[in-house]
Amino acid sequence: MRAALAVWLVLAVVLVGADWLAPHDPRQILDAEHLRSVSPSWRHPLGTDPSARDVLSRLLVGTRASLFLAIGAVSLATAIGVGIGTCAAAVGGMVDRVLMRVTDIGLALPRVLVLLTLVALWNVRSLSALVVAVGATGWMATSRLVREELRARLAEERVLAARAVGVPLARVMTRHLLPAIGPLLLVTMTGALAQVLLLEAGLSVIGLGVQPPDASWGTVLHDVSEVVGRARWLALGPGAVIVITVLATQRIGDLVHHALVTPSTPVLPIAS
Amino acid sequence: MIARSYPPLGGALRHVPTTLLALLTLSACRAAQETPATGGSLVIGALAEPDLLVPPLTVTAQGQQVVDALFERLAEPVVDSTGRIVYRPAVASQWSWSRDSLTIDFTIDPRARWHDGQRVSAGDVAFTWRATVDSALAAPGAGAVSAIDSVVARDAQTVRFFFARRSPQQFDVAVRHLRILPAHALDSIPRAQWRSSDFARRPVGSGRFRFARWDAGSRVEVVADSTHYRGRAQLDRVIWAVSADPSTAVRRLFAGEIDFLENVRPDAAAEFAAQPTVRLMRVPSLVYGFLQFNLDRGATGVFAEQGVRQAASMAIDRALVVRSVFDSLARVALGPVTRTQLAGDTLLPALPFDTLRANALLDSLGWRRATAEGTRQRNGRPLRFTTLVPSTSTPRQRIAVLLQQMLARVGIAMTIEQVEFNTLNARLAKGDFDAAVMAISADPSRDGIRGVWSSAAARSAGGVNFGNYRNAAFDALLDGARDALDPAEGARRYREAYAMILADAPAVWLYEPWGLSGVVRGVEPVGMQPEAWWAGLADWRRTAP
Repeated sequence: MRAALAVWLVLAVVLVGADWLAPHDPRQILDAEHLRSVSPSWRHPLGTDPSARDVLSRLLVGTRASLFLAIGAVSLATAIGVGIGTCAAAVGGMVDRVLMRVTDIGLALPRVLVLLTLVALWNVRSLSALVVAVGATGWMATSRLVREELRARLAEERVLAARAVGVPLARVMTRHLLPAIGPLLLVTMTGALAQVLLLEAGLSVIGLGVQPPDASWGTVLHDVSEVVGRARWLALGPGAVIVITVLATQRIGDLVHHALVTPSTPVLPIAS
Repeated sequence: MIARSYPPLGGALRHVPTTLLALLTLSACRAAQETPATGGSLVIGALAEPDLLVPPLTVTAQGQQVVDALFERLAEPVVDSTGRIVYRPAVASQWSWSRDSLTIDFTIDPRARWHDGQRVSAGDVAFTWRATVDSALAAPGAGAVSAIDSVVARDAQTVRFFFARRSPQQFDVAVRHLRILPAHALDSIPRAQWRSSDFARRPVGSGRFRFARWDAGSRVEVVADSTHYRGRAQLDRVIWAVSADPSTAVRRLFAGEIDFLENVRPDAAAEFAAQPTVRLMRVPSLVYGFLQFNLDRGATGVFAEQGVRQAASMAIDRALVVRSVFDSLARVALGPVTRTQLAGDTLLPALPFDTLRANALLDSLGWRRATAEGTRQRNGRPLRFTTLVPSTSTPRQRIAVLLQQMLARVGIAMTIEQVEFNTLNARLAKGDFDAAVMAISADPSRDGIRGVWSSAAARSAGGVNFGNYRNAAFDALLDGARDALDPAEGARRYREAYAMILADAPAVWLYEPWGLSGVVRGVEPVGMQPEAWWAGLADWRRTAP
């Protein structure tokens, strides 16, 4: 737990102070002829990429783009998923069926393929647009989870009793049921965050992430990928950062799950 | 007793096969020492399956490779060591020109046979031309033979080509784009159905290889025609094995599953040094890469102005770009033409790398910098553009990053936009771009420039001149060069045309890569041509299994 939190603490520091921490200008081609793909040294602790840019500097500054994309997209996906799941559970009937079929279709479509199509159709390029695209293609599992949880809780006797004495459904939902599934959503979000970090790396490898010369973890990995056969050390830095962050995030998710989402979780009393 | 003092006859006979075998082996060994080894199989790594195997309809490189092994031309054009194109007899054993140079008679080699045993006739040649220009067939290469007026079989062995006008390209047009088809096998099939016919997947040719099998999505196999009139192919069989992607193909080459791989990407080249069983071949190519400007971008475009294009060209250190991205695997491009096409004429007047001149030129045009490091502006409008780069090409992405930095030094702001390859092509075709890092494989003739940079090839006319560069004087020089009957005069006019387009700078011509092929040791490729490495495939040898 401490290690996982420490990782996120470091990330927070980097997020704020990347510009000061980076030893070189991350966009600067230092020497296009002599500093291409050089191995780690005191001057370049993670080496340089094939375009002769300092890998450590790009990795530090790239943290901002990667985390902005990951946190933004996951937040958006969660908001959409909660909205659709709540609507389906609360209204039920035809609305529920339609929303769940739409969700099923969304789950059946390969996400990367959908993203490729979105990029091709609407020329999604800016980081903000990418956040929207990734977020809009990642809400389906959350909506299904929320719908199932809420439907189960709506059938509980205490909820039925509250409704019987005139407590409005909206109040039951917003004041009691949604807060009750908050820990579960938190766990889902940590898992999704790890997924989006990996997705960002994947999108960058196929050239759809952050556009050059800007950096993200994925683009740094992409930039060194062409020489990874003969300069393996260059992939170690960005690869390790992504793996450690994903592991730390998932560890935090596990711990949240064990701490909050257990059978002993106290049921909140429903008051009118 | 006597009978027992000698070995029985049966015992002696038992030694005969062994003795013969030993003698044959010794004889074979001696023959192997005296003549090059023949036989064996060659597996070629293909990144896609052939489309179909009918010469005028085949468009993919893989299809072309198989088709060229199975079918023959009247004569084979070959670039000799001095860069000149010479023609070797193939289906036609000889040819003669009329006095007015408007007809050529080809005599069919009487030994030429189709793989089903029938003789190749003059009628087959006339049939091939008629089919190629038939609109029902819709052959992609029909335009290439439009200079031929008609083709008539004078008798079974002689076919006459008629031309409406004289030009230096007449002979090349007659032989390069026509691979002879068997009339007896195709005449009964409606031409609109050739693409879907059985022949398109199991063809009958007359080449030094005959078709053997095609396993869909996996491999195509051809075998040597052991009785071919021009001599049996050195290899017993050639197989095109399909790989899913370039990386897989390289791995298969290293693992010994394939013997030859074309178009090795520069980023994979370094791995070959650690492979003892494989070597990397560097061959001249017809490819050149460039930064294409869109001259017809409307009000938002900055490249309609010649001075801006010239300044951008002079701001780019092309030698550094090439060294940085390709190391020794490419050379600085001479212009919209490769060294192979120029046949050694490498002294074209390219714009120099000169940032002082670039800055002065932009200043004189009114593009001024508010600060020493800032982006230039004119009437409040910044000198800014976006460059498209295919997301599949790492070298071109690295080139774009270098260009961005070099252009920024003279106050030109360039944004890079990586796009998927099909999206790139669609946007180029629509003119929806400011600039793009491109690469193109040129036609081997000097006139190949026409198909990419002339007004006739402009995007607005449906061509691949995506930047819509149009210059009537340049077009006129190309026409004059093409029609010049004196080769020296033609070369002089081409040179003037090249100089004109270089000064006009509709693009920055960046690099001319070497063609890179991976081949296992023991395979000896011969007769490779810049536009077709497989041209001499029938003469390739294997000296080791």
